[in-house]
Amino acid sequence: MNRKEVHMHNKLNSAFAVAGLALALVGTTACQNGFMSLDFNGNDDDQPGMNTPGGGGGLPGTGGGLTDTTDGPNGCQPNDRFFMREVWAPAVQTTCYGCHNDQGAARDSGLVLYNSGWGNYIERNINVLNEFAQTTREGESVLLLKPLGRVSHGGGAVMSEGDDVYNRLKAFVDRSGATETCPEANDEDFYQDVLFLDAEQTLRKATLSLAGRIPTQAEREGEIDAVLDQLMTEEAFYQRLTESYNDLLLTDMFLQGTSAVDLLDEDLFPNARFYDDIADDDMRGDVRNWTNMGIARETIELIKHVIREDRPYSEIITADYTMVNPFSAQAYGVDATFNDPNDPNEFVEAQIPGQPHAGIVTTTTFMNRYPTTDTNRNRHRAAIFYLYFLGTDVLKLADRPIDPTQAEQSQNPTLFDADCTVCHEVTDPVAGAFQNWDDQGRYAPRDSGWYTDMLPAGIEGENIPTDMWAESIPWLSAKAAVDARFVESAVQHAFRLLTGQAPLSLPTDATRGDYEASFRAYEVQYEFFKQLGVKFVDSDYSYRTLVKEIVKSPFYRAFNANNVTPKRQAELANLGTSRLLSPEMLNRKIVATTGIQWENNGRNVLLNTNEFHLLYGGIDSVSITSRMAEPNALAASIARRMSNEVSCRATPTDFTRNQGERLLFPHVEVTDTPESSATAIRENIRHLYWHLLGENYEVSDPEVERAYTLFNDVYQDGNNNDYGNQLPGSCRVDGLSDDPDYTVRSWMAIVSLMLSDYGYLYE
Amino acid sequence: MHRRTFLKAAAAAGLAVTAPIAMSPREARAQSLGGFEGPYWMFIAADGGWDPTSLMDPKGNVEGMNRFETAEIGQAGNIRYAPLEFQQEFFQAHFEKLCIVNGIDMSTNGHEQGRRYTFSGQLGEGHPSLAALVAAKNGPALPMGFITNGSYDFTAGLIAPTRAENVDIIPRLAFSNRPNPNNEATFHSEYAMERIKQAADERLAAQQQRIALPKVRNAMGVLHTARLGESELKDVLEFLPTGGGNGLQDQAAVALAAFRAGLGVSVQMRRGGFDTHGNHDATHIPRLADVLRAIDFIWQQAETMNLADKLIVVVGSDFGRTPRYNGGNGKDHWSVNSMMLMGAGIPGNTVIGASDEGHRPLTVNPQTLQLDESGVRLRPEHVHSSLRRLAGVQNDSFSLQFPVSNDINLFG
Repeated sequence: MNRKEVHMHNKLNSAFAVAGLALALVGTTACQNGFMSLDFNGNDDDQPGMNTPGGGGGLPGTGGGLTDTTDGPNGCQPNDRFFMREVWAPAVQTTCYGCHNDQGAARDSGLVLYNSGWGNYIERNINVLNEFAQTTREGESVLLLKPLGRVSHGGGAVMSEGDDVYNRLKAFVDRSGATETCPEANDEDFYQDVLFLDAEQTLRKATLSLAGRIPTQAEREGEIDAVLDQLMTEEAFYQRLTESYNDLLLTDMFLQGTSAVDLLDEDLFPNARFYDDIADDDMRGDVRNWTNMGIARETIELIKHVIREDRPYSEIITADYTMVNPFSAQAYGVDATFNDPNDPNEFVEAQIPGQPHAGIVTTTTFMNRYPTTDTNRNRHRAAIFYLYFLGTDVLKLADRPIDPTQAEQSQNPTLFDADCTVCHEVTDPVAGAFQNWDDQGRYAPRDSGWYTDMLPAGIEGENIPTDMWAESIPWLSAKAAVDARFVESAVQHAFRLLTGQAPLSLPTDATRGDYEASFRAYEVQYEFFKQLGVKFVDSDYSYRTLVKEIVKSPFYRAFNANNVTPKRQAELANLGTSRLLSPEMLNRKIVATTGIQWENNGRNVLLNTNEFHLLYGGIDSVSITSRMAEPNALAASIARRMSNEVSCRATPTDFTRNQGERLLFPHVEVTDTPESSATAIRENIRHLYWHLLGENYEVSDPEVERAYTLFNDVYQDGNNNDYGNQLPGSCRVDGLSDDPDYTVRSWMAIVSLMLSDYGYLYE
Repeated sequence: MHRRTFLKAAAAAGLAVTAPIAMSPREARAQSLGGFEGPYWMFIAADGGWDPTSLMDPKGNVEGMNRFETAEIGQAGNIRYAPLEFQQEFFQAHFEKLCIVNGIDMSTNGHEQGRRYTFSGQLGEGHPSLAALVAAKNGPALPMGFITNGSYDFTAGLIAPTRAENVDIIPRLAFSNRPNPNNEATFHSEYAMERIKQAADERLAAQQQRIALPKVRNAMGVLHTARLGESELKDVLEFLPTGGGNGLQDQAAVALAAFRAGLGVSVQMRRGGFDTHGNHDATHIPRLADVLRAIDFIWQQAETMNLADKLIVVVGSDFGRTPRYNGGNGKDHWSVNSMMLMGAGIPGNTVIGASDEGHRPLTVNPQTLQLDESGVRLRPEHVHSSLRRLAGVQNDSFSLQFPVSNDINLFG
């Protein structure tokens, strides 16, 4: 085994050691009173956290020395937190990492540390160092002897016995041989001044966000896990998943026209355009669209199928099938049984003859959304595979500056130049695993085999066995599915879906004023993800577990805090969702809360790309691929126009419904005026605050009074001026066009106020 | 209430109007009163990694670098250019405005990292784009203060970016209380509309007293700040273009209209498709010409709109491309780059830095900017520190929060 192979072998061992660690954590007992044990149904608005503050420790720039070898500042410090806070940040990152990285002077030493581009890099570094910590010479750990310069060390002596770095490494060595006594951290103190949504508010937020509806009275009184389980059987939830996964995969770029059908090779799939034989123009057009949709959506439908059936989430990359609807089944020429052969939205499992399957990885749209060329040789696909399924950003692996004047003059720098191999020795074997799929995404094994001027096909030091070459991607996916990094990527995707936030990164600039606070925030979120991963694995990779646990978590429920100091502001900077609703989510909310669609000439204003879809932050999956996170003046104007148009239509429409069926005005009639029915008007305003904004107030609350004053002012103005007895032309609906008392227009003002409110536009 | 009137009244009353986190409400108010009068900044990204040797740092057919002869290389003033599509027209027309920075060491071959480095001045994560920085300084509450059409447009929370490509819908937004923007009929009476806004302001003020979670407070502030610009959108209508151009020209036209209306400070524009690992010449060269035509269009429009003496244009890309063609007639990633700078305060007819015949960066004397073997390599932070000086933001709280190396001034 040469040095490069040793290096890769070590990395491989680390990867699977981490997988073992994650699995070993399953079933461990939670620390007593840990925040994950929040009594969700209890009164936990004002969390009585521990009195011992978090943070500090040995972080660089904080002036603190080594805190303790066994217990952290909160009395219970898991190995990984101890490592991050006491060893990695103040010692290893600053003293060792500069040489011991893939591009550094010690890249061939056998001790190569991972940077943040790698999934699970903290755990992987712990494992790398553990191996050296437990290697001894004459009873002393090599991890201490080398940096002391007492045995051969390329960097010479970089610490001396008794100094701070030595003490930290010594503490790490001492821990490395001991049984971990506290696998979970206690972070309750982190939330001590944070206020959380109560159960009813949380449920309202979750049902609106995930299913586009208001919870029923029975659900409001029920147990949240059961409600969420029910919610995840509803079609609206799967529409939400479609959007969320397309935000990631962007395969909807093939939804238009026949762009998905066009991906099929007519030699392989001679029936691809079977619809051309349909005589009726309209029918032919419909079938063409349904066929194209069936192919374009097969990737996302497969993920939804796995979640809908509550199968292990890893099946998304290991499934030995794809998904087809009745029309794409014909295009592919596969036999499949449908409940309704005319329903384009019915997708079932199917195997395409002549090719192996590996879940979404081998679908037509995945391969073509991430294409390759003769010179790229599947490296792009490999980088995407790492990014999506192994939480590893290959383009971040080279965090050391590269120098063009030192570039290897070899004709093959990707194999021999350290500036190139840092990424290519990771991507190229995985690229080789894609070798049987060509640049058009067809299963077409190469007659000449894989390129000999690249590393052999495989992953991280393990080559694909020759008897598996024909099924190279299923082999690769099976490896990834049992990697701890797959768990991490699933957890983080679910977190993004629910909160709209990217996971935090470990801060590295110790000179920044908010470093310590950011570090604290990171380690708390890290612990949350770790425990979430354990529950995920424990539930046999049930995605539904992730959804339920995140909804109940502090990250989803935090909405306010008491007496926040500047330091706490930095610690809490990313807590709470505060997500600007996407146009799709806002559209569902409008329908759920007002009962009407926002349309212009029959086109849905928020969903149609010729209307406001893109301007309000939507994506087209082609050139616009990321969502708008913050509103600008145009988006604010769209929201204003929405509030005006929707209130104009929804207000009179709701008054035409029977009182028991009303969404907005269950407590008043159009004849109720401030003079005659002030109490009923206030009661209805109270209802609107809850119904539209999720805010519960007493009738006497200043918020209710403010809205009442608005109602009354508009009402008085209307009665003191001649605005006419009819509603504006665009606001007239069947059954209600007159407004002689000016009450409908007064209610329009209230509804407009609330529809344009932060609480409506955000979640 | 009109935004300016509201802001003045609010400022006089000491009302806590919210703004993006990095700027105090008072700063935001002070800087947003009145139409912005420049300078205006346009950043153009050639996304994917362009080939400087096919543009402003040509080598010719030296060891297979380019597929044109060295003798064919053109020259306009002090600037050499490749003998390729639209380049002679462009460089001859604009060399007196052009400052070329060649031999920039990018230290990366990663797209994301390269874009970030070129447009923020920092290789690592976290710095806002310069487009966001100058907009946050000069117009944090302007309705179209920072327009972006993609590429590196990270704002670090300094300002809310505006996506503005489809100009046809702006009238419906500028007149959001009218069912038809061309008809004066309204949804709410004028009185009701003002009262709705007043009630919203009062509610926000009450929430600001109540809400302490930074993320929620900030989001409320961003929404409110965005809302302050609603009523002024109609000012943009007057200057919106009517004809269509290529994608970059449309992006530029909207931005120029926003500048002319005093409602914008900067724009990040994007032309993709430069990552030509295969078939380089056939696809890469026409896209370079698209960029040059867009720049040409910008200066013609700017002249017409009386903006030319207040405009700065910065053009860059992720990195360069390899000195050799690969087996697919493509060029791969190469960490040596160039940038084009033009406009108010930029020395024209100037070339700073260079690369050798193998497109490796040469060093320059940090004082004289002449080539000097014992000098330093030019990096994006040098360009950015110079541009920050030009923008007058080098000592701002934002800039100090996101520092870049300050040891070279490219503009004397």
